[in-house]
Amino acid sequence: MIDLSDLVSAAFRFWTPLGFAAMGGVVSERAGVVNIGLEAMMLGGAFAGVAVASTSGNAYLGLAAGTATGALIGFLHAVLTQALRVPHILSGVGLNLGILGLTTYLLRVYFGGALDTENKLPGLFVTLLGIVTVLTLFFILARTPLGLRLRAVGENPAAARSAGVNVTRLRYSAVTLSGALAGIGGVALALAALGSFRENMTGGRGYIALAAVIFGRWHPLGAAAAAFFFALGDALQQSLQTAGLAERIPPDFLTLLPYLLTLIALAGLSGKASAPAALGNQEA
Amino acid sequence: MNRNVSLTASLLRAALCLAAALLLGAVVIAVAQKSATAPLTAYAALFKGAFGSALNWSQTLDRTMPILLTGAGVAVALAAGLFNIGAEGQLSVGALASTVVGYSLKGLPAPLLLLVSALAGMLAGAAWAFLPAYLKEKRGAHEVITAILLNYVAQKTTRYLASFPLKDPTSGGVQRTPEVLATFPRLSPQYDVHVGLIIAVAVVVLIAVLLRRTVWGYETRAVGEGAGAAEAAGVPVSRVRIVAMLVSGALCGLAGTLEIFGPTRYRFFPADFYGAGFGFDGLAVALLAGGSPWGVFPSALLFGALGAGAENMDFEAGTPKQIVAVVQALVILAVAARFVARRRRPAAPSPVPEAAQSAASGPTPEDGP
Repeated sequence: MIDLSDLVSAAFRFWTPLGFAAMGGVVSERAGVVNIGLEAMMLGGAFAGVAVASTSGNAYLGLAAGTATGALIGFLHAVLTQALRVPHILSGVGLNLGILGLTTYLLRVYFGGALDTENKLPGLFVTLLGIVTVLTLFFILARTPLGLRLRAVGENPAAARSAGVNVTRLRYSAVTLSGALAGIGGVALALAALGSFRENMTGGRGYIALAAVIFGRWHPLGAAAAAFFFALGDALQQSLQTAGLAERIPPDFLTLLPYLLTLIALAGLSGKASAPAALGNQEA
Repeated sequence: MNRNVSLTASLLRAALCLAAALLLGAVVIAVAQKSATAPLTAYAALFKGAFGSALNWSQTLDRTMPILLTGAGVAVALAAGLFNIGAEGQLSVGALASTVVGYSLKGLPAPLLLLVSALAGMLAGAAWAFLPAYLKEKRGAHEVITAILLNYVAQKTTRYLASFPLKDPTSGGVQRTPEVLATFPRLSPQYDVHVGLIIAVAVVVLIAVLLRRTVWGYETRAVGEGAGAAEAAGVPVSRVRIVAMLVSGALCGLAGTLEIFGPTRYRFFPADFYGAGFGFDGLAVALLAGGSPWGVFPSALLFGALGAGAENMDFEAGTPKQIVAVVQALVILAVAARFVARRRRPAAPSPVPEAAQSAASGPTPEDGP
């Protein structure tokens, strides 16, 4: 039997990391920078978060470290795409590959391949922080001059520049903030429920978060809702497993569910009308 | 423009990028392992593991074989302006499909069985590559995202299939398929490197020639250099892109087949099949090669050597092999980066075709600012 309240609470637990990363995706992409590196930012944030929480004994220091690490990787993505003009997708792919290698390397050098801590973050706190983040981002984007400038940079950077907006600085800030948010997402994944870090523990959640951004039409509330939809798929798959179906349905079949749902959602979404007009452009 | 000059320039550039990546990797090792000599020990073990003996050479070449094909596959897609990040999934699907054919068709002579299995692998790889291509052309879904998701779907599906419906009933608790009925012969009895390497080399040469000398190749490159201009010249852009992805997927599927039908694997064993990263290596190989199929040869040998050497580095020097992924990532980023000032030297060789940059850059691949 599937307990409905368990299902909903699991869905919120799975939503939190995805929701943070998706908000990171919204910020970056609304400023015109494709961010497939969300995966790297989550993974780096998760590793730093657990490593610091375990060595310092303080989960909140872990949260800070994870956020800072995510922001740093975000800043790197900004430097690569803006100053060094690396195509946005390539920069993201390179970061994902490199951070996966680096975190596993460090995990093995310093922690013998497995990292666990008793110092966890309260799940409810992190989820509430996620909801507040979504609402704040929605308000900033829709109602403030800063939000207007950010959207202008993503839609028409040339026009924004002639209106006096410092396009480069705004993009650097947006992508760095995007990394910080994805980093918190990684911390939420590793430090809230589990208190552990394992090799490649994000397992593609950054990509799913990016798919949620697209599915949610680059809107904070839309992306958050799409992320919840995918989280519900994940929760359902987990409930089915714990409900004893694992013997009849192999786990690979169930863990397939979120990826398949995301794919179907993307395939069913026709048209590309609502992407920021200057998304991914090299020259601004 | 003088082609020799641009070739020398791009070789020099690739060598510089590699040197920079290795240097940065060395810094990471030195800092993380708190020892100035650790990078030297690690890289010495890496080099020894790659080229230290005939056995090491054979391991390097054995690893080079599949990434020659995935590298060429990614390069074909890149020539058409597409980034085939789904190489990994296409390789797994191709590997499993050819395995199934390879153990089910009893009574076929070995060469015929190998041929039919390879065709099955190529077909499966092409089919898997068709999905993101089709979704991009017809539904506007971004091919990079869909291909990444399909990589996960491929891994989980092939693992499920090989572990349950297609599991070898005689292997007890070990979840793997039955053995294929024929394998490629070794090139030399002492070493694992097999005839598949010759096939891979021949196929990449064929692709390089086709891409340079045929109408298909011309159209593919025309689309890659500028979809708008190609369209105006009457090239069926959408079809050319889909065909490029099919060819790309077929090459990746063949890579999976050659990998399985060697003397060491001879069956699909999920527990040790993933993680080798032949598909992702293909991305790095193609990018380092600047999208040129000829450039795939040195570049694949390099990544084959890094892969083979990494195992020895891990084992002998105690430096975790994952540092090689960091070096690979740095190579990708360095090759794609443009360190020269903006638009100062318009003739500077671009490592990635211009159209691939815009095609690989967002849900709205509109050109220019």
